[in-house]
Amino acid sequence: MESWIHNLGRSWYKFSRNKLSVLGFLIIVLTILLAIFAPLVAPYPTHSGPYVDLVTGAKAPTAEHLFGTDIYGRDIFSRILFALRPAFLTGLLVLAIVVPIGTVLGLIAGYYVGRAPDTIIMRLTDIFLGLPPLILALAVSSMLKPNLVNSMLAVSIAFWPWYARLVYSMVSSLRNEFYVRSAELVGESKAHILFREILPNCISPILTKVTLDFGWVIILSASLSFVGLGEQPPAPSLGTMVAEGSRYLPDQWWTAVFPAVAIVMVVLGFNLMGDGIRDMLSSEVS
Amino acid sequence: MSENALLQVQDLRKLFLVDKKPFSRQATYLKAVDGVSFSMPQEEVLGLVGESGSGKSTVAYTVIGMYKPTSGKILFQGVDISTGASGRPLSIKKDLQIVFQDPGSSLNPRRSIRQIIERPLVVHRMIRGGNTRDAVAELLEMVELPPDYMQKYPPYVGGGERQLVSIARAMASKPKFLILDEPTSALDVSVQGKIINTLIRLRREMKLSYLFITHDLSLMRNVADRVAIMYLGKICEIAGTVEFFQQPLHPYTQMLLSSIPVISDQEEGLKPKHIAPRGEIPSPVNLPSGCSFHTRCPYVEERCRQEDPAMKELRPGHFVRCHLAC
Repeated sequence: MESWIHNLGRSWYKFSRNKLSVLGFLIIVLTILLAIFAPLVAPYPTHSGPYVDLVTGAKAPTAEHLFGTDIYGRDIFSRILFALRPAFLTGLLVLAIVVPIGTVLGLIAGYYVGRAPDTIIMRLTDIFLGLPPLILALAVSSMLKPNLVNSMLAVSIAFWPWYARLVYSMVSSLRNEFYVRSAELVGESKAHILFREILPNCISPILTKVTLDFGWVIILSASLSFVGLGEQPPAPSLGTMVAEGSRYLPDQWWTAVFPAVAIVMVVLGFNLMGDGIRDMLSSEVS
Repeated sequence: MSENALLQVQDLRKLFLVDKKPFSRQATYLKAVDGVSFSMPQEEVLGLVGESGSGKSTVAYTVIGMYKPTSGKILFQGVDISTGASGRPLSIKKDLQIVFQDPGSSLNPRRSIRQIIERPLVVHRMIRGGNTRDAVAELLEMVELPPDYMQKYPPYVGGGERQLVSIARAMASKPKFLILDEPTSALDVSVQGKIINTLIRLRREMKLSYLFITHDLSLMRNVADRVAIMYLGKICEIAGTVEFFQQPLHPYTQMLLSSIPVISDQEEGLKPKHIAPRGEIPSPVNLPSGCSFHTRCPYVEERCRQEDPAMKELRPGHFVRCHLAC
């Protein structure tokens, strides 16, 4: 137990040596808290829904409306806070789908490197990797009904091959380690070898990629909602807000700029944090 | 002898595909093991010695099942095990174990020493109930490691201790036969002795047989009952240890023995007539014609270049593959 705390302390030390990573970490913690407590923090919680007040419409930022209001008179700051919720939810759910699928496929293909499972799984992966993620996600979600769940599905289809390939590349070399050979010679089951002997040695790069991808998933799903294939109005979504606001550029610049800045902050936060996590995990005793 | 043999290897060959041009039938093979036969009775230690590239490790990996033999037979207690490890019954895997050369790679860095040692006990159902603690402690004691090593992880213990853990894991299923693939060559000299003494003691206590792969000839003097020398995928001499060191018959054996470094002149006198080592081991992809040693042999004759010598039993139990030896 003590050593567990000791390890945590040492990990934090390694992570905190990179000041930018700490900044990223703080941004992420702050935005997650804001998203969770949006109904309490937001000055105008009702503005997240179908609210119209044309008198206060299209006002520039003031003390009353920090980020200004959109043409319907809704407080943009409040709407951004509420829009963070589907953004994080998308990141969480997409990765929860994509990481296990990609990892298991990569484990199987990497363990049977050069044999039929490798060929089948990895050629399929190559087909998906051959298409740019945004195009693939656009194609899939435009075939489905435009809503949040379907946009998550579309993003998932674009992301699983990266995990399959990452895990595959590690497993295909790890499977020749003598401890894997040893397990085979003892008579261990394939499930034990894959999940108990090999997988624990792949965790660090998977974890690093998950943190970095969190930002990319959010960007991709924002891109989908920018073209109207994600969360549907009046529910707030960062992509939709940028799309709507961009129609009133440059006069009502705040309607587009602040949601865009929110996207940038979240993605930047995850990227900076991902770098720190990579440093933290890669310098572990191998 | 073949009746009560524990392990029999008959004309074992293992080729590796090096290069094959598309749409062509011609392919280049590396002949790692090229017709090796030997037989081991119960409770024997056979030292298999050779330079790097002689195919000694390939013999070990083929016997243990990491490679499938290209041709030839491997019999263990009379049962044909010429398949890869995946085709072997669990009972064979229990009786036939291996200790690898590199203790850094043979233990999973993410699993505790207890988790590593207890697996054979679980897989072979040698433990009743879930508590493996006492059994693992016993195995650690067998290799003279304290029980608190159980909680440690391999990266945090020394190379020699890691190798002892490897031995404890191999011993967990109570095997009859252990393959030792250069178990000391990756270690400091100071801990090599400890590993060797542990192996000698275990062999005596557990009535084990070892196939001891090494490139260290002088080590075999204390450990092996018989010694076999490999050169380019073939065994060129095999004899009882005493006779092997006193009356080596193959020029290659003489060359190796005379090049062992010694400390005193007295020891120098024990060595056979000095034969200066010449040249390097040729490529096993492009084997020399005739006797594979003729490119380096000081006594080479025309016949050696043409004709591959057969294995001859020149004295009881002393086999040599050489035209000139008598």
